[in-house]
Amino acid sequence: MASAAVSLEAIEKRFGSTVALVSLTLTAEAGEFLILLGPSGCGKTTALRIVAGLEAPTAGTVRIGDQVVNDVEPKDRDVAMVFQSYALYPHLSVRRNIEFPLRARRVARDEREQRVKEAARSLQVEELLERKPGQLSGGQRQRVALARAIVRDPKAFLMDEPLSNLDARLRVEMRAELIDLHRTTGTTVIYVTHDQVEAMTMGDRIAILKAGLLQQVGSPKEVHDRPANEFVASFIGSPPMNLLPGELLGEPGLTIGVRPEAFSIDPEGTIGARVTLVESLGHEYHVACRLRDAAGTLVMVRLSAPAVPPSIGDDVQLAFTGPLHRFDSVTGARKEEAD
Amino acid sequence: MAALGHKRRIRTAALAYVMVLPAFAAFAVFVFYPLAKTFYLGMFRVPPFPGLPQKFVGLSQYTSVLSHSQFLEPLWDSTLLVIFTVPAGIALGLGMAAAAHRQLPGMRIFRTIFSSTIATSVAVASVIFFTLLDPTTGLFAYWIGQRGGTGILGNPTWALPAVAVVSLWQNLGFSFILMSAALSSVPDEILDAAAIDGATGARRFFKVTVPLISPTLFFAAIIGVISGFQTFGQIDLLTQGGPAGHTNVLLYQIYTTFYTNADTGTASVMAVALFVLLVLLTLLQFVFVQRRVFYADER
Amino acid sequence: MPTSVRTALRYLVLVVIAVIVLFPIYITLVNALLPGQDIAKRPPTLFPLHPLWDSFSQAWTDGSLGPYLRTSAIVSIATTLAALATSILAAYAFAFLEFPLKRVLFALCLATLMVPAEVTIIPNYRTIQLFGWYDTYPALIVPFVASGIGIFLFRQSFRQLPRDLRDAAVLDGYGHWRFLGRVVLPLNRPMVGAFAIFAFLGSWNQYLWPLLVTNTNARRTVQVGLKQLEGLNADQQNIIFAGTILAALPIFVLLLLFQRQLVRGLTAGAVKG
Ligand SMILES: Nc1ncnc2c1ncn2[C@@H]1O[C@H](COP(=O)(O)OP(=O)(O)OP(=O)(O)O)[C@@H](O)[C@H]1O
Ligand SMILES: [Mg+2]
Repeated sequence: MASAAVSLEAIEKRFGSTVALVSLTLTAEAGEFLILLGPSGCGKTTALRIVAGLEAPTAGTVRIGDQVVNDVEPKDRDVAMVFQSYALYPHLSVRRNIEFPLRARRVARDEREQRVKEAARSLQVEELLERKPGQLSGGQRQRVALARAIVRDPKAFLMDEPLSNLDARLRVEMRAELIDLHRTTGTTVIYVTHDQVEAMTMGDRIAILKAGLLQQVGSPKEVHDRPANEFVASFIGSPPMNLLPGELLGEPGLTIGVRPEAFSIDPEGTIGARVTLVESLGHEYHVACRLRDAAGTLVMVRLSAPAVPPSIGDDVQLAFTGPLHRFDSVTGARKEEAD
Repeated sequence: MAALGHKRRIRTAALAYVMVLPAFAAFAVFVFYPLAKTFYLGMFRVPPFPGLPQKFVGLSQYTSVLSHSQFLEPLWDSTLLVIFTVPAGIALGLGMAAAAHRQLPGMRIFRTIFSSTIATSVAVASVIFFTLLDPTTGLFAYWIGQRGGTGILGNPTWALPAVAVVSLWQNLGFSFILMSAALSSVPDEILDAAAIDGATGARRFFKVTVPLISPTLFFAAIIGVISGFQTFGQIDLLTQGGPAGHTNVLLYQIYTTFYTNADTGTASVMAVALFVLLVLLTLLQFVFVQRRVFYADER
Repeated sequence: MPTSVRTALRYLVLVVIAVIVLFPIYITLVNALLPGQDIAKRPPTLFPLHPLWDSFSQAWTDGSLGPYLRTSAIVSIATTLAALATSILAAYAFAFLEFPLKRVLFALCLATLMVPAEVTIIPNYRTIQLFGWYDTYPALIVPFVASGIGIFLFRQSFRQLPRDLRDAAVLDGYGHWRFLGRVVLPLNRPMVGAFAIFAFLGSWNQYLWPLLVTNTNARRTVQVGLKQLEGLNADQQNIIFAGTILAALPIFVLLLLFQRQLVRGLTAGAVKG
């Protein structure tokens, strides 16, 4: 297995006056599935392109394995990239597309055929080898793009929102396949997405970026259970975490985070509220309630399959059943409980 | 690390210069240098007898030549030719395109025929008409019942219109192709909408279609004017500027001044004038195309 | 009006236009097939009952159409290939590479569009003589090997290529030359075809320049050669007509074969902007 760690050390990237990345330090361990997550324009693609060598960092060091690769040409970095647009060569057959990187590296013909066959088999595109990309569905194109990446057996895969052009069902399907692919190849993956469900289900660890600044790195569980700041707290989880003024609980200067599922409707509950909106997803309900405090704060409550769902206008009592998160209301940084 | 970026950037730039070099070498030798040189040559008076040295007279030659009838008359002839050819050429092309626009069986053949004159060059068209218009043996003389004499190409009134007809015929194919492309770029929905609103036939054509293709009409007009001012072959093959200079268009005048009279100074001044004229026309077109690209982006 | 009458009228209009457009060509063909002395006969013969084909071979040899066409073919093909090569290379640099003075150079490129060859004939004529190229192929070809419009059109067309495709090729290990050869050109084949036709037509139809820089039949292009035909005797008019047909034939064949590319080439930039 050729898999290698990929690390960015104090990477800075500017485009003219735009600062795309601010002192980014981040390592994907060998064989790890690392997710880069963040809103549009936060620098995810830029980080990936810097690893690939398509973009030179303004400052900082890029390492693949234990080699500093800043001075290494993209083609010699031995990483494969999968693009959001797939970037298949429209004039070449699927076979020639998959073969393309091998030809560039002057791999012998027999070996080439063997490797194309294997890659095509593992992505189930053997039947499509003679077609042109224009004759494929989106999902098939995605598979071919992946096949073109794995055929090189690179040290790392870089994937830039590879599933974002697929419909919802296909996305779920491909998600499972990508996880499977990662398990069988054991190759390091850096995977860019702005879809937090993808991030939570696929990643060994998630790195969350905002405006070029790294907010937190951790396992899906960590970033979910212990978000490092308000931004991460509200970005991870659906519906997003309720952020309430600390005054509500007699803790001024703090912002209190409560996940919607941490609330429950309970006659014994101490917080009075009125239901303003009920959304049913079948298996669960999202209920918006207005608290009876001075500001009439809105909170979102997630209920899994209640026996009697509330309806709009009901007066209810709410109770906590889960942890509270505390953030400095000025800096947004997480405050650990003092216990 | 910045070193990598640096080294790579230098290598990329070197490659880029290698790639643009052939084109720019040719541009330098055959476009930019001669353009400057033409301005320069315009400042030298060429003596009437060969062998005598040329005399630097500066810009005074520009004022004297450009105000002289040897320039103004050819300029007027060229202008007349443009007036004769451009509107008529567009109208004919548009008419043909409109006639051939509807899908009918056999239309492919008609389209091929209508565009067929692009297979003829100026020289081919000129020689064909030269023989047709021949005063003794030509068909035209027979039709109008006038054999012998000077013929139409020797007639001071009709020579230039006759040249214009040759240009028109030779350009029919191009005009037709251009106008057909314009017509097929008009979305069917708009025409349908117009029809539902009660505009059909000629009314719809002039009130909806023509305004929609006005960019192409404008484009055709500009390149028509530009190529009209560059007319040369028709004159050389049909009239040699005659009779009595009535078809002596600008470029033909430049040619004879330079080639026959060896007066490079005067010829250069007139070439510069032609250049300025064409630049103004081309700029007009650029401004216009720019605006159209802008519209397309906005969509 | 009933539809059938209207359709009939439409065809009538089409036929009338076709006759007017084709008449000069038709009469040229007819006259080429008549014996020389019959051409001036009145009423004129509109259908040659006994076509004589040897006027064509006479035009080919006596009228020198053979050498003229050969020269034109060599000049036009060489000019087209050279213009394709220089335009594609320069356009690639402008579309994909970063280098100092890029914008200035591109502006210069566009500036050449405003300098028609007619304007610069005087110094260019001298340059050709200085190089010792008078009455040679280079005189007919070299001044036209670079095309501002070609560079402009190819650059436009190259820039349509998604950036991801270029990036993918870089990661796959393809340098600029191979990317150009294996990806850019195959994907821009329609543009290559259209510009090739455009450049070929432009070169083939040149008149003033070849007239200036050649003076022997071996180097005259067919356009200039036609002027020599005009000087033939009245009883050899069938040869003039046959020569004219021969001169137009190659482009006519081209038109039939590549109508689509031709239309695209001629209308490039006009309709789409
Ligand atoms: N080539 C470039 N020139 C100038 N600015 C750029 C360039 N590439 C990216 N940027 C800027 O850098 C910032 C980060 O862009 P990047 O493409 O990395 O965002 P992203 O996180 O991938 O966003 P998305 O989710 O929308 O793809 C943005 O502000 C963007 O406008
Ligand atoms: Mg992105």
